Amino acid sequence: MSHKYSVAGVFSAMDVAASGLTAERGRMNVIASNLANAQTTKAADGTPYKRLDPVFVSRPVSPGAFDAVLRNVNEVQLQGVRPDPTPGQLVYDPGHPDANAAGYVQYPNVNVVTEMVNLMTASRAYEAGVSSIESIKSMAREAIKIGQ
Amino acid sequence: MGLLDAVQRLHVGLDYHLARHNLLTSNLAHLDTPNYKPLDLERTPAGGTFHAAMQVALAQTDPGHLGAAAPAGREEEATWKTIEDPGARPGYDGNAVSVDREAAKIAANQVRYDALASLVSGELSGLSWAANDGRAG
Amino acid sequence: MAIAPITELMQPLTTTRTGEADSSPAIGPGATAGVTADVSFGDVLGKAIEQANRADAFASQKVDALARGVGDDLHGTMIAVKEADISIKLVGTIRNKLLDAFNEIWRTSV
Repeated sequence: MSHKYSVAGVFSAMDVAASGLTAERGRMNVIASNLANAQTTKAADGTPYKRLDPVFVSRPVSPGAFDAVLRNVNEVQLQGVRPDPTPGQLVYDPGHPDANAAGYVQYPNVNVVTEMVNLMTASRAYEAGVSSIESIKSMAREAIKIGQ
Repeated sequence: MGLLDAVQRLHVGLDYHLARHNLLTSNLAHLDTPNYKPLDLERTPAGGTFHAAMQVALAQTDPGHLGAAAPAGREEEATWKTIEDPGARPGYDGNAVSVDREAAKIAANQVRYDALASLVSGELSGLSWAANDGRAG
Repeated sequence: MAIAPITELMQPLTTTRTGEADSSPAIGPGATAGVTADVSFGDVLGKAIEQANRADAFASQKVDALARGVGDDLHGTMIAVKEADISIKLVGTIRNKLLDAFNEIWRTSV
């Protein structure tokens, strides 16, 4: 958001929470990609699929603000993905089209259980972000009631 | 002294937030449109010393010249224009609309609208009280 | 009696000045009987108006900032507006009470 904030208020909090939602949604996309390719022995570049890890970075919302608290408030951004270099399982299957000279097939390094746990974490984090925005909206509504 | 100046400024603010709401919901409608970049309304601040300085009234140096009235009150008008949202990042299909980002903007915009509406109501009821000679009425 | 409540109303608004002669115009001979010798009705009203003006100017500034979108202080603006509202209404109430007191004293037959 290009808006400059003067104090740590409801609007900066909403933007920060929304950045969390976008980042978690991106993480869920990455996990979905890992799960869908758990058995891909030959990806686009010919090698087995390498599972991806999302890379999150923190960006300050308002670095030049007068308010000391607001200077430290950061929003999160999914900067990119990083392939996981650890090798996957080798399975002996000489009849497989992607088997190497010794008859072993290299499978992707995707552990379905780990990915499912990550998916649940991302989903809970998304819910927490939504609940955070609802709280912020309700606080703002209470503040508006002061003037009535 | 304009009794209704504050109400007028709040009215302009309400207009802006309503127009922005319409634009943001249209962004959401284009969630799946390829190559769509979300739009936003940017406000140009009203007045300011530079703008006011440019509004110079022509001085009539000779009675025979035609006079020109200075534009009255124009420098106080806040305007807004449609811009492409600079913070949106495009996905694979070129569509840069993020549902969370737009929804958060809509929520924040609504909060501001509600606040201004409540303030307008307060201003008008205060003026109404004053108009009734400061007694219950 | 109408005068007693006014004294209570005045206490938070004024600082008592001890030892100063009460030279400001009182509303009637009976008016100063119920109040402390240092405070006059004119001062009270004047102070209330001054406070209301200040509160109103501050609130206008905050409301303008919120309307133009440069201000983010939501509850601060609401509180300032309500304070200004109360200050102005207080001026009205003081004025009403003073007028009522004046009218009551005026109608006293001597």
